Amino acid sequence: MSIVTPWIAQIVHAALLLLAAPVMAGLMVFLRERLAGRDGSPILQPWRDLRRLLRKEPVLDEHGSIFLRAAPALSLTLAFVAAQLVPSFTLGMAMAPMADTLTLVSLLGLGRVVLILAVMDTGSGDGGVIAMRTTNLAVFADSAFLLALLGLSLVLGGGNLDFLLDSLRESGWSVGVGAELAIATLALAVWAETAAVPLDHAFSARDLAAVRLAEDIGRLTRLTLATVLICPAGIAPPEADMLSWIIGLAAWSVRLMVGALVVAGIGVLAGPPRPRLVLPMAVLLAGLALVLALSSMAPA
Amino acid sequence: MSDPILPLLLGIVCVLLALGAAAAFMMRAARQVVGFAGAAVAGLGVLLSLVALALGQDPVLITLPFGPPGLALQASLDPLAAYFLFLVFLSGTASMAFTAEAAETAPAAPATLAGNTCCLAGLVLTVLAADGVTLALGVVLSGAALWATGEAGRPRAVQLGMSLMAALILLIAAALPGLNFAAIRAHAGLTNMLACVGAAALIGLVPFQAWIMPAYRATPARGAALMSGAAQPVAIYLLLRFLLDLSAAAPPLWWSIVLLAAGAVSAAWGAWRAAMEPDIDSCLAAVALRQAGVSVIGVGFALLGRSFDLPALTALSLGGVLLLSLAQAVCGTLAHLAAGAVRLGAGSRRLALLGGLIHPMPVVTFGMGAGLMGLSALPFGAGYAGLWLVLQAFLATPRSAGWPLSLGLGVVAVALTLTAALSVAGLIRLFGVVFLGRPRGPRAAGAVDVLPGARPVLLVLAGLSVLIGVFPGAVLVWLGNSVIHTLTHDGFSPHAGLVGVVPAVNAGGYLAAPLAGLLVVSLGVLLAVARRRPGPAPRLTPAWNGGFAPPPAWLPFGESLTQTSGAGFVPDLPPSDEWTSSYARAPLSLVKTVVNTCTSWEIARKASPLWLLFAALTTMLGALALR
Repeated sequence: MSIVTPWIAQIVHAALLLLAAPVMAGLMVFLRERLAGRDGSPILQPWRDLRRLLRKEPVLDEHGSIFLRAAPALSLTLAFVAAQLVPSFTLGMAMAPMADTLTLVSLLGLGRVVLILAVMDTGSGDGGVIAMRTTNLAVFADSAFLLALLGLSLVLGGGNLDFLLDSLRESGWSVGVGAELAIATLALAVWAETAAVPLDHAFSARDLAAVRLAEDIGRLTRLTLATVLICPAGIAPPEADMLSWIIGLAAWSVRLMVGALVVAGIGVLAGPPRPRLVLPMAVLLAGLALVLALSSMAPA
Repeated sequence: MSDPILPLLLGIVCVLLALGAAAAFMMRAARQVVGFAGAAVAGLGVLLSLVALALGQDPVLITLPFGPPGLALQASLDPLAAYFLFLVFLSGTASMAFTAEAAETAPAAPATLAGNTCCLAGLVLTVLAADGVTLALGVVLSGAALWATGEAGRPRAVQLGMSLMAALILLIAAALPGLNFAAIRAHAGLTNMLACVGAAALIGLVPFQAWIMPAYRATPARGAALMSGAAQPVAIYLLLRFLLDLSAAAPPLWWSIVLLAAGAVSAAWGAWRAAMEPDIDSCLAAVALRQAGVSVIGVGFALLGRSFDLPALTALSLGGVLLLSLAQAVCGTLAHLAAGAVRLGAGSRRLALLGGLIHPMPVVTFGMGAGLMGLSALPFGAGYAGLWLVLQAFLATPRSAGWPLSLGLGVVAVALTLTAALSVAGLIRLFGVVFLGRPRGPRAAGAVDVLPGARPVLLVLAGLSVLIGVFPGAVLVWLGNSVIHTLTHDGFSPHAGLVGVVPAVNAGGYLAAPLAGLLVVSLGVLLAVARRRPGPAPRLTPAWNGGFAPPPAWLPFGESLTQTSGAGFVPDLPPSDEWTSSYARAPLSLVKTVVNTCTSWEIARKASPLWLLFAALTTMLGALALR
């Protein structure tokens, strides 16, 4: 039982994640439109789009190389692998030992690199501009992510995500101002990333479906990470029973809903985030969090 | 055990020197034979150093029967030297094999071949040296040999001058306590730090950074490969030798502070330049500087571990430095050889004239891709595990040293993460502009791939870099452990195995092999599903270019503005010449900029991210002052 349980959890997590990613994207659009006073498109619309795209005839750019053809599958796989590392409803999944936070951020970054290179592979003018802008922002987004997670690992004494969540769950909110600032920065960066330009510029039909799914999975993974760090309550401990799993599932969906509502609400009230301003700010805050973490841990 | 190995290695140095002399005077056909002989001898060196790594813990010392009056030259071999010899020979073998293969076509082949061979001999001598004179001899030999391969001009002269200066500093630093390594070890102190200035000049760390990019541009690719893949690890070796092996048990704190500051500034500056420079060679030079900066930060953390008696910290950061040096040796060599192939096959090294090279040059593209991946902070790249270990070392730094050190460490961490992200931007820009998209000129459109004989060199190096990237733990266990053991003296080493790199402090780790396995399995499943349900066949069409018409017949490669030329991928820094020559004007211009910024009524709009970073530092200081 104890050997099989982590794998069952992992498989359930993978299936739920694949199912939920497009729904989450639909929910974000729906909330944004509802809050702006419109009817709102159906929440399942992204799923319909994916099914529709799968039937279409793919159109490929004639300048494109093998890179352009391989990129959709590669980015989808990378997003999927990264998503396996972030616990959703329970800790102690089979992949938990691999869930190093720095590696997680870098994996998500690698998926983005693949898509940016594919966009550049078309050799079109706006492809280059999109690549340029995305890279420009990714520099700050990735630094902010890495710094914030580094600060958190520093406070809690380890970089494994399961370990971090377990310590957070046990210590409640008494983790120190450095860790709290780090988590807040992470949330800020996730929020700013919701305004990133989609990198599906160069694709159509099945490829476009794969890229959209990959981006949805990446966004869901980031949101799950940020929300679970803010409030790890309810997530099932390792080797828990079925009831804790159900509670964990409920907690995960509540967290996601609230997260989506907050993102959409801020978007309607204050306009979409301006990553050029927010992301460098996040780097600063994360650096500050790190210094606070370092200095507050010195014994008197 | 390793008694016969050291004489054999010294024999290799002599053979390489003889081959270098022969290459300078031989006929063209015979020259190629000389090149292959050199590659074979260097390959023998790779094997010998691996054997030495596997066998010996005890250092072996040989006193040579000659030298300057009153001194016999000495050479020694221990695991630290063996590890870096392995890197030097690896880079040398690849570079020589590549040079020999291309000797038929390359214009300046005699000088290149002879220079490469002698440079390799000099670098080997530097690593084997056990006294200041031999060390300086090796540095001078390698520097002069590189000078001989380069194009005539100021950059080449400056490079020679830098090597000579480094040799002189090393000689002085060794002569003050008494020339022999034994004497230096007995009187360790400020002179060890002085030696580091020489090593820093060799790498081009930040006070010395101005010479490296012009020098790389003026050196043919194979010489640059040796500079990046062998000379730079040797400089890191000198740092490790003088600061950790030949010095007292607990160094003063300011040693590590100096190293951390120099490393952080160099790494950030190098990474930033790597994403801005207009030609491939400068980009790669800047990438090498970034790698060196991260390694120097690692050495700084190792010293910090010594100062605070935290062997775990020293071991972690040493593991990082060793992996980073290996990545530099394999991927730096690979990237420069591929860059040379681009220069020869596509006729330019300027990003704005290249493009779409993946179609005519698939092998070079693969090589450059693997090299760049290993040189940037992306998982499964050869250099990622090293950077990861340095970041773990940061997590293990002491907390009890007061807030000034905490603040400094925070700034180092900001620099480390920024350079990680910037290196990825540099990779996207270099690879995307040069190899993907459409050609930007006729020469790029008519590019030809590297000669078939030289392809195996690139492919083997690329394979090596992938192997290192997926099994960094194995590399650390089989190659690095004895080095870490020698330098930390108490046998601690990061827990590492085939599956990945796991620091001993907690359960988590960078498990590269299982992650790669998961990736491959998922990709396989996805492709299998896609194959079982094939959709409609794809149709090839011209790209939708935002409504612009395709280029007219009289402008076959389009207006240069229809594709990105690689500008603007990262926020701007001042250009390097201005940057270096403005030390004197810096205070004035700073005041001017601050006044300008403050009087501007749209600060938020004008504030570039760079200024925000400066603001970050001030904020941190303020926050700490208030506490």
